[in-house]
Amino acid sequence: MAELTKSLTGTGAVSKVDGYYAGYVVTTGLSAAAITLYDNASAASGTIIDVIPASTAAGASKNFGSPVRVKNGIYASFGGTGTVTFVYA
Amino acid sequence: MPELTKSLSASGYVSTQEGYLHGYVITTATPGIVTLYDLVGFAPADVVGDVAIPVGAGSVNANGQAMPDAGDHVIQMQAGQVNFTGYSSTKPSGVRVMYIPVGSLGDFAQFDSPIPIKKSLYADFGGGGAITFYYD
Repeated sequence: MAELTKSLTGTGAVSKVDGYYAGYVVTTGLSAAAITLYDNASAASGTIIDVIPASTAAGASKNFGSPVRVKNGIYASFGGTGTVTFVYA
Repeated sequence: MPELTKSLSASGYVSTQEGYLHGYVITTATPGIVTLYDLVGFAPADVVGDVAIPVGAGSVNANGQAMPDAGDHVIQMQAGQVNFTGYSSTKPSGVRVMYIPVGSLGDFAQFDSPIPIKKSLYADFGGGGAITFYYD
């Protein structure tokens, strides 16, 4: 189902519209801080839909068999460094 | 496919209607077990053997005696007998759907077969932490 991907290296919007969140793959390992994903188009607030733990290594991934509905968008808040490709629709 | 999400950081309802639980992610480490109930209501079913007497941490009357707060169990002593005059209004009663063990940030589960919820879904936190539930 998931048809879109977006790679981020810092805090920012993955998607600004309602849709579905399907998972991620870490392409550059995270520093010692987590990434938090919110059901929000433009800010780190609202319902947390997922978290990626601090120090997650490159290659780690998560694939939601049943993607999670988001009503406002997907906003990723990076606590540190790293690169993550997000999968959504 | 989960159409709804809800984050809880203390005991409370995930959903108040029939539906399905698809999974969860721990967003703040949970130091205690979280028990999920398909809740029928709050009942005294588990009170026996689980009685607490307020000992001053709550309200105090004009004589300096400890008074029960809302939700406390109350025991009334009368000439050689003990009468239960109340019960916890905060202890959930219903079908235990599952236990979420003590977990770390990022711990995640998504069920291949979502768990059906017949009445409502209530999460009883044994400690702190926060969890986002995926449901519909």
